[in-house]
Amino acid sequence: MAIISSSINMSRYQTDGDVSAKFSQEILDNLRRYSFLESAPEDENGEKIGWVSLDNMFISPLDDDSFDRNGYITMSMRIDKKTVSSRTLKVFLIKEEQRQLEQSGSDKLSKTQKKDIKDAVRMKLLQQALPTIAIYDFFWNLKGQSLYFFSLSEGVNNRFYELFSKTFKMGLIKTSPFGLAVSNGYEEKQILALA
Amino acid sequence: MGLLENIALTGFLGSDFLKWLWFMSERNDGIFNIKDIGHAQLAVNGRFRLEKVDGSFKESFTYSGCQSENCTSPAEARLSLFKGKAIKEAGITLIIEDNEWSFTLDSKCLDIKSMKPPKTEKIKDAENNEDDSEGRFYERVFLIERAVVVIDSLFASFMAERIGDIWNDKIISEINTWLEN
Repeated sequence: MAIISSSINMSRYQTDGDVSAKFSQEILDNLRRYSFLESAPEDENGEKIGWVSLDNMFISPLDDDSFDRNGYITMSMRIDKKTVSSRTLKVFLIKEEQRQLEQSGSDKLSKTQKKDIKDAVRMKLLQQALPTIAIYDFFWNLKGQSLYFFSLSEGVNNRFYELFSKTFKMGLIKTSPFGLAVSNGYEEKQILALA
Repeated sequence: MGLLENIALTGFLGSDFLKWLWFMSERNDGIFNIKDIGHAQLAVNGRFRLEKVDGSFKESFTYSGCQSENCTSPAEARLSLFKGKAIKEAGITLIIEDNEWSFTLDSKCLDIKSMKPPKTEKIKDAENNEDDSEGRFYERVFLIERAVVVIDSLFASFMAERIGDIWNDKIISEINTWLEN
């Protein structure tokens, strides 16, 4: 659990929307819908993404007591990714192209045939590959509308933003000096005038 | 103007904040009075990442507290700031009562990197069993939020000076004198 590890990296956000201690049924349905499912197929990039319990990466946040902790919403974003190295793909591609040529009796494959073979070989290898699993925790202080996400990677934060917005139907505002200045009561033009 | 554009235009605020924080911590012996918390001691320690922006050219310099001839004391970092470089990241040590945090603060988004929260004793649960994960969670959240409250409170103090006339009338010259020495 990143939250209790000895060294922490955190991205800070403010939530942008109406927050109540009790989520609507729509939100709870979204949470179930976007929970990570082991049996779900990967997307075309070999990836699966979804919410899991903070305490147990094999279950939905709704399936144990960790989701709602006295005014804090806590869970993790799990990303499973399968990859096929280009070298491995190349080896199996050559084999399959040779097989197809022998089967058809021709001495050349068209561009379309080559592309179709490549896609099929890649898909087959992806299905056989083991995923790398990454877990990213967050906790959300509902009263303060502050959220802490335990990754600094821009790509991972973008994925988190997308999943959070779809699930909770609200925006996330990345903390910034400008944003903090606004929350301290300064007007936009006052702050911009400092430049 | 959009939010992203505003954030980009005011990117200097974070660097100015870190520079102000360093200056104030050395001026006050690192003691700050934080609302709802009381006294907090803060040091901007030897880890910095500075950047010079000269038109489209950026140079990054990392200074740390190491002893080699390429890594010097903060004095060289201060001189670099005087010559126009901006602080992009700074190492911070924060002490409140018996608790000590160390972390790196990023100027762009005030993200927190490599935070080492205060060491705590193992918490036993209601059945007196070791390793109460629930308790550890609440304790860790408390400690993280406490450090963030301090950072945000200091930022508020900084903004009060930055927006006011005192910045140009007094603070800038005090900081420059400090940077030069």
